[in-house]
Amino acid sequence: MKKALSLILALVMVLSLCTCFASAETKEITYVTLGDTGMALLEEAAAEFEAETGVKVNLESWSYSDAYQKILTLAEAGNMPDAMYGFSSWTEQFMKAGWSVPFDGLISDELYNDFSQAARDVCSVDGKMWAMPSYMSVRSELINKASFDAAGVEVPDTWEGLLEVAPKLCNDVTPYAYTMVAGHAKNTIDCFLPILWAYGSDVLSADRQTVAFNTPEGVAALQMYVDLAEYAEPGYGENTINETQSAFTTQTAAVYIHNGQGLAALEAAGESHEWAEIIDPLKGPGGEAYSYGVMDVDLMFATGNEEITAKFLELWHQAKYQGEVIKAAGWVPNQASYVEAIPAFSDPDNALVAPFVAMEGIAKFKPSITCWEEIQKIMADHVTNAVFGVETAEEAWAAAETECNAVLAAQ
Amino acid sequence: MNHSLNQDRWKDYLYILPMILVFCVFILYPVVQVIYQSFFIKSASGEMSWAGLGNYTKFFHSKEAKIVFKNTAIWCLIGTASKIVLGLIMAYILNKKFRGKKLLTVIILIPYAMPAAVSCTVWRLMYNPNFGHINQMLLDLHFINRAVSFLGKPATSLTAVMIVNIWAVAPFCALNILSSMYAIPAYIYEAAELDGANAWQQYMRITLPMIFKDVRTLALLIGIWAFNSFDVIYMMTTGGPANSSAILVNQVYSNAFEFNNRPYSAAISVVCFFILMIFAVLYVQSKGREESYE
Repeated sequence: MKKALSLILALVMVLSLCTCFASAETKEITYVTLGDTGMALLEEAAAEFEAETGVKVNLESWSYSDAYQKILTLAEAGNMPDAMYGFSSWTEQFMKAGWSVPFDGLISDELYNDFSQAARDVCSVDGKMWAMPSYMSVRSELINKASFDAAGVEVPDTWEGLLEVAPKLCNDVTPYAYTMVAGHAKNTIDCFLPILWAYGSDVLSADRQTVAFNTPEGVAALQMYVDLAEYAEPGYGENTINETQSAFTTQTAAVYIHNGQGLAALEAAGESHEWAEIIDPLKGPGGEAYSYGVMDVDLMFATGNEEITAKFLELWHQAKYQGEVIKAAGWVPNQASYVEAIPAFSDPDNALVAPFVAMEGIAKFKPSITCWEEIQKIMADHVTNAVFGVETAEEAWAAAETECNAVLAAQ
Repeated sequence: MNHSLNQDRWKDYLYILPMILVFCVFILYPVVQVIYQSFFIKSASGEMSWAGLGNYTKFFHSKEAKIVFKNTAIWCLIGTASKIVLGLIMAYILNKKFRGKKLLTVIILIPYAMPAAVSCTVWRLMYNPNFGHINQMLLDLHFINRAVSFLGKPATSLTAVMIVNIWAVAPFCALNILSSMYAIPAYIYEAAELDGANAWQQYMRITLPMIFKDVRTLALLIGIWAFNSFDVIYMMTTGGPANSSAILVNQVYSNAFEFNNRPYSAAISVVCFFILMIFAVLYVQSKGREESYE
C-alpha cells in the first residue's frame, strides 16, 4: 500500500514538473485592438505568425470608450495583455507605473529606422521608445466650398479671417459656419489645440512642470473659440468629434477640423464630396499654423513574453498588413516603407490622403504626461465655461492654470 | 435544558453563517478597503503613501465639490419631490373608475418598464438641437429663435436630465401610491360622503393623511435611488458640460476610472456613504412605524 502511494506521489511530481517545463515556452500571446478597424488583416497577420512560429495570437477587440479603464484595471491586477493598441498620451503613465516595456533592442533597426523622426519622438520618453507608432492621423480644416461660393467670400487663411466671414457662411448651403466641441473633454481639446498653437501658445511650459496657456496669446486663442461658437452648429455642448463630422458631411456646417475620414465615408457610401476641400491649417496673428497630429501607438506590457510579442508587432507593422489598414482608413503613413510599397500614399491625385501627408511636417501632438486626462478635463471644462459665458476667457484660463498646476505639482 | 438551548443557538448561528460570510466578503471588506484607501495618495508610479485626511480636505475645498453638492441636492430634493407629486396625481387619476383605465395604466407604466439605455437614447434624440422634436416644436411656436442644445448647455443640462429621470420614475411612485390608496377601507369614504364631504375634502382629509406614511417611506427610497442614479446622467451627458450635470456618484466614477485616482475617488465614496447612511436610517425608522387600518 505504502509503495503504491509513493509511486502515485512520484508520478504526480513528475507530471507537475513536465507541466512547468511545458509552460516555460510561450504558446500564446494576446494583442488587444480597439474597435474593428483592420481586424481582418490582423487576423491574417496572426495566422501567418502562428504558421511561422507556432505561437497563437489571441486577438481581442475593445471599444475605444472603455479601453483606458479596462487596461488600468487589468494592469493594476497584473493581468495585462501582451500588447495593445492605445494612445500616445498613455505612454508616460504606463512607463512610470512600470507596466509597459521599451521597444529598444526588441525590434529590428530596420523597423526602428522605418518610423519618421516625429513619430519616434512622440513615442519616446527619456531617450527610449516606450511605444511603437501605430495609426497616425493629421487633422486640418475642411471647408464646404459651395458655402463659401454662395456667401461670395474667399477662403481665409487665418482664424481672424474665418471669424470675419463666418456670418456669411450661415447661408442656404450650410446653416452654420462652423462645427466644434465644447463639453466632451477629449474632443474639446482636439478641436481647440490647433487654435491655441496657431496663436503661439501651448499647453505645457518647456520644462513640463507647469502649464503655459495662460498668456495673452492663449487668452486670445480662447476668445477666438468663444467668438466662433456664435456661428457654430448649436450642439457643441453635447457633441463629440463624430457629431462634428456629421454636421460637416451633411452640409450643416461650413468648416471643421478633422482628417479625411468623413469624406472617405461619403465616398464609400457613393455620395459626392466635390463640395468639400481640405485646406492648410489656419494661421494665428503671428502667422503660425500647425496641423493636429493624432498618434495612436502599440504598447507592450511586462508579461514575460516581450520578445515574441515584439516579433508579432514587427510582422504586423508591414505594408501588407497595417499599411493597407492605414490606406483604407484615409490616415497618414508614418513608416517610410508604407509610402514606398503603397502608391496611393504618394499619389498627388489622392485627394483624401495627399493633403494630409503634405501637412505631416507641421503636425503638432498633444503632450504625453501622466496626468494628461486630468489636465485635459480641467482645460476643457474652462473652455466650455468660456464658450457658454460662465467665465470670461481671462477668468477661465486663470482658474485653469491654478487647477492644472496643482495637478502637475502633485505628480 | 440550558445545554440544549446553547446548542440550538449555535445551530442558529450556523444557519446564518453563509450569509455572514457573503456579507463580510462582498460588502464589509470592500467598504473597509474603500475607507482605508481614502487615506492614501497615489503617485505616478502607482505607489501609495499615507495622506491622512488629505483627500477629504482636497475634495471639500475643490470647486467641483461645490458644484456637485449643489447638483446632488437639486437632483435628490427637487427630483424626488417632483416624482412624488406626479405620482400622486397619476395615482389619483388611476384610482377613479373610468373606461380605458387599464390601457391608461399600461401607458403610464411604459416609461418605468423601458430600459434606461433606451429611454436615454430616445430623449437624447428628442433634445437634439438639429433634428430633435422639442427644438422643432419650440421653434415652430416661436418660443425660441435658435435651436437650443438642452443637454449641452451648462444652464439647462441638469434640468434636462432630471426631466428624463422624473419621467422614468414617476410611474413607479404612482403604482406604489395607488396600492396604498387601495388599502384605505371604502367605509371611511362612505362615512365621509354621508357627512357631506366633497371629493377634494375626501382627498385632503382622508386619502392624503392615510397614505402619508407610505409616501414618506417611498420618498426616502426614491431619494436613495436618486442619490445613486449614475446611469441616466452618464448616458445623457456624462456629467457635463463642465460638471454642470454631475452629481456625487459621477465624481466617484470619473476620478476612479477616468483619472485613475482611486484614493481620491474612495474619499468621495466615503462622503457618499455617510450621506446615504442618513437616508438609510430615516428609511428604516419610517418602515418601523407602519400602521394598519383594519
